[in-house]
Amino acid sequence: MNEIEDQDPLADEDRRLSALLRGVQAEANPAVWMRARTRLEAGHGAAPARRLDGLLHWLTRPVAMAAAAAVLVVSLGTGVRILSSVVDSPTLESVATTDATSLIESLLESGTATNSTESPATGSEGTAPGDSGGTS
Amino acid sequence: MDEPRGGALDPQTDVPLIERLRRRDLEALGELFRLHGAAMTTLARSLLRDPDQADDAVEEALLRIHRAAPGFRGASSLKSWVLQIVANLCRDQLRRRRFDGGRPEDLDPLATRGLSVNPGPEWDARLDHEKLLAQLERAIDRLTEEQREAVLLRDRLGLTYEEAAQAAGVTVEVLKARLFRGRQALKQMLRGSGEVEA
Repeated sequence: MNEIEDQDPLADEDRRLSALLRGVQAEANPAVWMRARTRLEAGHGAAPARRLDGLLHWLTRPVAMAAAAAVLVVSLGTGVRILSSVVDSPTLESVATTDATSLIESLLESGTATNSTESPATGSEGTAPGDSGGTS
Repeated sequence: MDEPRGGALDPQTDVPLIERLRRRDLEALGELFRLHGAAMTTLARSLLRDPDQADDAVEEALLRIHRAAPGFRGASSLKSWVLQIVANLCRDQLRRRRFDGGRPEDLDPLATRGLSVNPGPEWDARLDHEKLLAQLERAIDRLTEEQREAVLLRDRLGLTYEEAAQAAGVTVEVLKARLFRGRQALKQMLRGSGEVEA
């Protein structure tokens, strides 16, 4: 069995390929560790994680959840109240129609009153009050 | 029975180091770099093919390891976890670089990538290794991203199938399939250049 395996040209080719691939390496660059260490000591590495941790921690706190629920209830209540007040109140159109009708009525009333007091005083209808009838 | 599985934590070295890393001990991170820094650098330089960008990726990986260590549950070996972080960062960087024109074919791919030759006992003395390795490096460049990663993790870094699969973030079966196809393609390319058959 072993002899056959040893003579197998494909297995031999595989072994040679693996040996070649393993024969290429790189050394670790100590400067990389120095740079990383400097950044970590300056707080670069941990800051975003800490911020995220803090946010997640705050979001999962019962007080925060209760506060969020309260805000939701208040905003829902306000929304419902606003909606119901809009539904109950007269529309703009109806307000405008009502105002116009009352204005016309009052104008008509005042017009009737003026006509009844002015007609006997002017005497002649269709003549301009200040027309002298000519100078010649 | 007691022998640890390929991708499992090593109780002698991994467990105490992870405990210290979880406490965000900087000295422990330095020790991790001393233990696995060469593998991290080899992987990053082989994948990115640029020593400066590769070193930046390794530096970023160290910061991520420091941040993520408290959440590391030890489902894989420390080495494969660390190499997974490096591979992920390299993948991100390669994706960002996709629309670049790319570099012209390197005259000496090993030197430009910051990789060095480490001759093994089984090397064939009749072969021109310098030429052959340059050829091999160019052949690796022509593999798909997944195949390249599988070949590098398993063959260049010598990880077990389990460790390589964990580092690549795939199942062992998927890794084996990628590795098989990658090796086939490499052999074909090298055969085409008449080098591996010598």
